[in-house]
Amino acid sequence: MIGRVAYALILGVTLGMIIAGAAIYVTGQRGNAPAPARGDLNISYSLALTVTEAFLAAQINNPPPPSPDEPAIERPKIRNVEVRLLPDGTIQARGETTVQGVTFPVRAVLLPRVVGNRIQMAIVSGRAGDSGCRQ
Amino acid sequence: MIATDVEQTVNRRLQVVLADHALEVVALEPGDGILKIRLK
Repeated sequence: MIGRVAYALILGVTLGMIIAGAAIYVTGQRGNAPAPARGDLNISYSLALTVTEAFLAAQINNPPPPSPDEPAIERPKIRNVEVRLLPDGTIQARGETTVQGVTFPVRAVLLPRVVGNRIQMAIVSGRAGDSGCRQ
Repeated sequence: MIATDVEQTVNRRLQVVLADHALEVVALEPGDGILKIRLK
């Protein structure tokens, strides 16, 4: 009797772990990567800005204050950000943040896109901590 | 959340600059270590 109960418990726990793991795996998968949208290079233009990695890192390390119409949300601050601008158009940002006294690394990959004559930043991936928690 | 924060920070800066100068983005030219933004 005790053996059957123990067997059922172990079987239940094992099945639970498998099901929970599968659920985390499935829900953790992101959709397809956003398609590049670099605009039209054949259109004439009047000005070209060259954005550097140091410029972007400075913007992220010193974020602008939220506008008055934005809701006041306390979010963890990202510090010591380093940015890499890659030839494929993606922006890789690495830094660290502190939540409840615990500091851990964070990483985000963004893809700037031209949509309606404006720049939109599509989020390719985001990770927090060494364990690779996906956003 | 972290990626969203980075995205919002970068995007807010860019949009403010573009709106202040009534500029529209025509195209992006990514490179190694730089990103060129063509405007008109």
